[in-house]
Amino acid sequence: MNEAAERLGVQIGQRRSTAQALAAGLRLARRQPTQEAALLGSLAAWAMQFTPTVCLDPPAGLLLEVEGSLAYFKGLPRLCRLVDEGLAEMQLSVRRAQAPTPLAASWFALTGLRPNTPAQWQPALQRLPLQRLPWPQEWREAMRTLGLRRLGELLALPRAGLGRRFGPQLSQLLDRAQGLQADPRTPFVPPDHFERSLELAWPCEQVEALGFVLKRLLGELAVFLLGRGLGVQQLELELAHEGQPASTLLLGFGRPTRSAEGMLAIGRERLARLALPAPVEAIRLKADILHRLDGEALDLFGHASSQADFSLLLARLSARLGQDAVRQLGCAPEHRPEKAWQVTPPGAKPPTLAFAERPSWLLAEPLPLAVRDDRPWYGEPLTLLDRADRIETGWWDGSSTARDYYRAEGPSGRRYWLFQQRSDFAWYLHGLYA
Amino acid sequence: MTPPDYAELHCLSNFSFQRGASHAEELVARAQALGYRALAITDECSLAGIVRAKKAAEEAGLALIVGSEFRLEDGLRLVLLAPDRAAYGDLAELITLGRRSAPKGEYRLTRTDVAQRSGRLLALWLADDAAGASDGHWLAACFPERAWIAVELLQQAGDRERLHDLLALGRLCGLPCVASGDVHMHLRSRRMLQDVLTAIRLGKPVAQCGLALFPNGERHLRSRMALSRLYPAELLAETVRIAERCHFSLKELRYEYPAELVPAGLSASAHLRSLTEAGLHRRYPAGVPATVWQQAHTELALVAELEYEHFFLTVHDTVQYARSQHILCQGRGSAANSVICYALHITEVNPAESKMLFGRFISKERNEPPDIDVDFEHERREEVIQYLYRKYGRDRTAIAATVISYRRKSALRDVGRALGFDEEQLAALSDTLVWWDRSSDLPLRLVEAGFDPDSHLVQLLLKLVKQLLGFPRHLSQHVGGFVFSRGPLARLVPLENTAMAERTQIQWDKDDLDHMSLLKVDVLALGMLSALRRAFELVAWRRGQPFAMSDIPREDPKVYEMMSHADTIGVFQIESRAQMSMLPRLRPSKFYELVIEIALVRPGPIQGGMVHPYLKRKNGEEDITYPSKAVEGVLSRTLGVPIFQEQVMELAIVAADYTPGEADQLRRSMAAWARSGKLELHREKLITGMLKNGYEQDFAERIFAQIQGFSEYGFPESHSASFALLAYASAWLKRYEHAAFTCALINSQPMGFYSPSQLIQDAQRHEVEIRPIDVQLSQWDCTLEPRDGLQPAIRLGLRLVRRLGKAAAERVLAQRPPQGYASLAELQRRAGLDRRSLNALADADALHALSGNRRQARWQAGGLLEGDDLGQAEEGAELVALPALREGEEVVEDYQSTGLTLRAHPVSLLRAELRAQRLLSAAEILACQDGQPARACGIVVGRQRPGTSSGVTFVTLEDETGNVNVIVWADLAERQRRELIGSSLLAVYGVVQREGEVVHLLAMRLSDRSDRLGSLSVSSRDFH
Repeated sequence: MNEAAERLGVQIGQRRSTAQALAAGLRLARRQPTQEAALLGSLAAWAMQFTPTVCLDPPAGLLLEVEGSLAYFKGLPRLCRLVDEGLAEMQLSVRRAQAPTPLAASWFALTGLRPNTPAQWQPALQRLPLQRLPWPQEWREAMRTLGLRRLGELLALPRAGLGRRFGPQLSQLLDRAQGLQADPRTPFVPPDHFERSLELAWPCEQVEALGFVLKRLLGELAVFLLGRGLGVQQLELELAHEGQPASTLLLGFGRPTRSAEGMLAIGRERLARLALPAPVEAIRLKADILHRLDGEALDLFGHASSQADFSLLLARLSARLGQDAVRQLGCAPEHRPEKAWQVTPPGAKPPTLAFAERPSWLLAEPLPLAVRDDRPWYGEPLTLLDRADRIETGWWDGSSTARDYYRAEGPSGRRYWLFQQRSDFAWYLHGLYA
Repeated sequence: MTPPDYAELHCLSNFSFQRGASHAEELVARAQALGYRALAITDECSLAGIVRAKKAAEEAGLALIVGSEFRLEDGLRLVLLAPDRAAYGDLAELITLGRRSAPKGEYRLTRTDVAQRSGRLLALWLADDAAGASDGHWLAACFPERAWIAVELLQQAGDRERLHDLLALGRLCGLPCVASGDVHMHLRSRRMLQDVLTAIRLGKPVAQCGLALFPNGERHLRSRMALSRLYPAELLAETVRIAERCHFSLKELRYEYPAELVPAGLSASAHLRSLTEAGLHRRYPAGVPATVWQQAHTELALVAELEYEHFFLTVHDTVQYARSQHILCQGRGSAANSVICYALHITEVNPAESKMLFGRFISKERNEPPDIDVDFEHERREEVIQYLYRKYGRDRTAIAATVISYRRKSALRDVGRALGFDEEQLAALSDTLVWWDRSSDLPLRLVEAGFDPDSHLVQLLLKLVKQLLGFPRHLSQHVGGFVFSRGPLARLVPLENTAMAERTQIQWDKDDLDHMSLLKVDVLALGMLSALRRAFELVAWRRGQPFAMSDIPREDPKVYEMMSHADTIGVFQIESRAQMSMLPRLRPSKFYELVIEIALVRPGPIQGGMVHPYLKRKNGEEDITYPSKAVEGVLSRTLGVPIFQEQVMELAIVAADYTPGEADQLRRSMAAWARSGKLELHREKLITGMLKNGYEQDFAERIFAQIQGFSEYGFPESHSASFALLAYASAWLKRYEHAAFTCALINSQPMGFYSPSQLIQDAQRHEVEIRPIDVQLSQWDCTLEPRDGLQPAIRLGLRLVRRLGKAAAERVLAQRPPQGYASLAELQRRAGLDRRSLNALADADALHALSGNRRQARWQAGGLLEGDDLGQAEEGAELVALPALREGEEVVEDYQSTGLTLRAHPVSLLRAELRAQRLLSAAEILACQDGQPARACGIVVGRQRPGTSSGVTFVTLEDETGNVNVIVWADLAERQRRELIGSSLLAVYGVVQREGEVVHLLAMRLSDRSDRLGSLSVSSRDFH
């Protein structure tokens, strides 16, 4: 939520209708938990430059066990500065705190209520507001109704009574936070490949604009690679369109790299040359093979056995000629002849529809016809063979149609498909029969 | 060349929901204009639109054919037409069968079903391209000499072949062919709307409907000339021959009343007479006054002449049953205020005291049943309904339908979806619309929701929404209109399933029934009756003797005195804000003035400008004059100002030479004016009529303006009189038995204008003691606890505890030892309470007797719940160090758990702060001078924008001293929409307007102070 919305009275937790009544121009976006999780993963990989023991603390936390790294980084203040600088570069806003127990550190960071000095961590823990701890709603509600506000008040209650009311988990949490009980965590193991996608808030029609999105994804990739001392030599970029197959771009670099700028420069260049078949709705960036920066690949493609079938031919044709060049024709469920056909990607199954005798050759644009002796004329006088096939439709998309279609024949024996516009009675040729 | 004769035999109206794109009226008018010989309305498995079509056809003088279109389970499609009454019965029965065998809104029929009812109906076969001869043979066998192939040539490719094929098929099967048009709309220009309806039906945007849309707009009523170019003359001529065979008219439907109400050997008339006479002797034990006796017999003669005895007997029987079960009920409606109804105990309005004449309300000219609505206690109406089903049987009893039509929001949503607007955007728009917005605000709201009003698509949206408004969407059941018949109802009108299992409804709505003169008894629910019955019981308990409505002393000046001070919170009908601001001015001092008060302060008379003339005349500030003796006769009882619907009718008769029948038309037009615009037709007639009789143009115009104001909202005198009785009874209770009255109102919730919180505050201001909910003392309902020599105290009941189920509460009550529970543990164990119930009680502070405060109660409750069966539960009274509750917190929790508090009013907790900002209390506002600038702050308990007030919003603010009535003009409301809609605590800066005892605060600026309330949630009740 931004400031403008806040000024208009929009609040977190408000009903959508109320919010929209307050701010008519309000734009709502869904949270994207998968992307948030992915970003957290990238950051975890990045954080491995500071300590081998990084733990995920979802949904938005990272725990760095730094005790062992302090000597290497010449003390806590310097380590913190390095972490802060790195994060600032990524333009992420982060709340950071440290404490002897992971839970306490996590809660301090989450609430932003850090002890003034590390030594005062326990009094600070007592002061933490219960309502802001990442606990089940049910607990917080029960604590609220008991009038409990701060963690200290909770800690003051008999532990057995608490256990009876909130279950053993709460006691365990309290003990772990205070360091009375061990709190073992599973360290983060970075994945062996990188894959991220991003849904665009608005379908994007211009390749230039895609550059910005790409920049963000490459930035994330760079972060991912940096923590682990890795690089990439080839990337796959996939642009998803609505109702159309995705466009794929392979970005190759001369040697393994993790320079976001360098990758972006090449990516931008490739994008600029790309003609978008449709607006882009989502972008996916994939790096399957990660290299040590000395150039060795971590993984290799297996060789899939080739099948000499039609789909392979199609694939090859597509590869040679470009995907746009291989297409299939089919009917479309529409009354307007010019919209009653469609081009689909190979292999799609358009509906089979029975239209009454329509010509297989349709003019790209209807051709206005002259009228002689009250009859339409196309190099020869045309005789109507039929009653009108009246098409009146399409009012909703700006190409409203109101036409009477006829089959017609000339003295030459050629057959034509004509229509008369119902608005001005003008004649047009729209198709030719074979 | 003269175009050939033609009758359209296959035509859908918009009662074929999401298919037909024209109203029956439009179709009829168009068919008439095109010179059709007849028009069949053949809605799909429905006769729901047929009465409207009949009315239109009668007015236009067009022959109407009754029919219906069907698609059978196996795909066969046909149109069935009713040539005569018996065939009509078959058709209605077939539709009933189809509808009853499928879920609401659908139907299911097989060939067998049709074959069993094919003896008299005519059939048109809607053969598709794949039609085979076997179907034709089946039809020819089922409908010998009565089946045709419908040839529908709709300007599509292959029409010529289709015609050829169908003619051949006809020869093969021995079926003649006939032309028909598959009409879905009256004009070609409706095709956009028709496409939209298709899209709505399919639930996807028009652009994705593809071939489900019709390729062109030919399915309209086409000119005969156009038809003659398409069809062979023989096929057109056949339409007329079929039409001529259909001589059935809906007028032939003769309704027959259920027979069982009359004892064998007695005529209905004699039975009603003896019941009436016996009733009169009971009503007047000291001897029936001669005038009343005389009047009763005049009425009986009229009833006998019109054969309405059964109607009165039916109502009498229903009321009789309710009385036998001690269910309070009361009749109202034009016929209710007759001596007969008084004698039969249908109503309590003593006709000797009333000035109405029965003869005025059922007249010979009008061929329609008299109107009686009976209100029952809202919680016990179902018992009455079940009785009716038992008595008349399910095949002879059904509920009237209500036609649910497209309103602004629904039309906007459906058309918007069909045009492919984003759901999110439509939701935004829909949310932005508030119920009080006007249609003309729509473009403005569109802009607010982010639409571009000039775009082509938005223009289309507006245009189509306008067309769709008022279209029927589906049928629903009427609130309480029951229809009974002597024979099976399904041969009179089709029945269908309702959303409630075990209930059936007919396909006609109230207007249709009126028009068809079908007996309908309105079995309605009225919350006030439940409250009155409860109050009577409490009074009887307190006084130690039975107490009933008839024990209430009449015409008590102290009761009227109380009304005149607008001290009427909770009093039936006169508790609304509009009524309360009028009571001190009108100061009713006798029953008839109360009748007037109730009718006067309603949207109709307010809009018609009757209020102020009446007020002035009543206060002697204006001379009471009449333009003629005749008018004086009509208006003298209301000081020359027409207030009741009946007076408007009478005026039309005496001043503009209307016949009683025409006057009744006028009344109906008043009721339906907003829908049909027919009232304009009366304008000319009324005004010329009055001018001719020597009335001034000015007077005539004024009368017409008043009639216009009545539209939709006019109140009949008879209703008003019945309501006035209940208003008086409830006011009497409030004046003399306030505790019982409040207790009964709370126990009958939800009802009325005020929340329990408001009712309790009002009672407290009247020095009634309210005692808190207590698990040791409370019952489910609120109860009275005696206090010596004083009004009893009200003990709040467990019903007010939110989130506490009735079953759990009943266990608490059933298991409670006489001296109360010894401990929380005992309560939990004996009543078997789960966490939810126990917490609900703790939240409501109902456990204070056992645990002290609610936090301790919750802690202890928590300890009990996780204990196992072996009684390992924690020992009860473990007191732990929990933070104490501040008063503000207690108040907030009171509201959250019960919706009210007996502690300080939340605003009083903020008083010091408010005073520092010079925000006044309600009591202080009340003491302000007229025109004095003032500011107030209170909890928003009501927001109202009456249709009559040209954009004014009335806001009611509540604080610890009472209410402030705030007036917000439209421009301020628009400027400060956010504060107006969103505030729960609102500060208003404005100017006091005072007129006698009536004080308003005219808002100049609003300020949202809701944050001061913290988490206090007091929800406002918006009243329509």
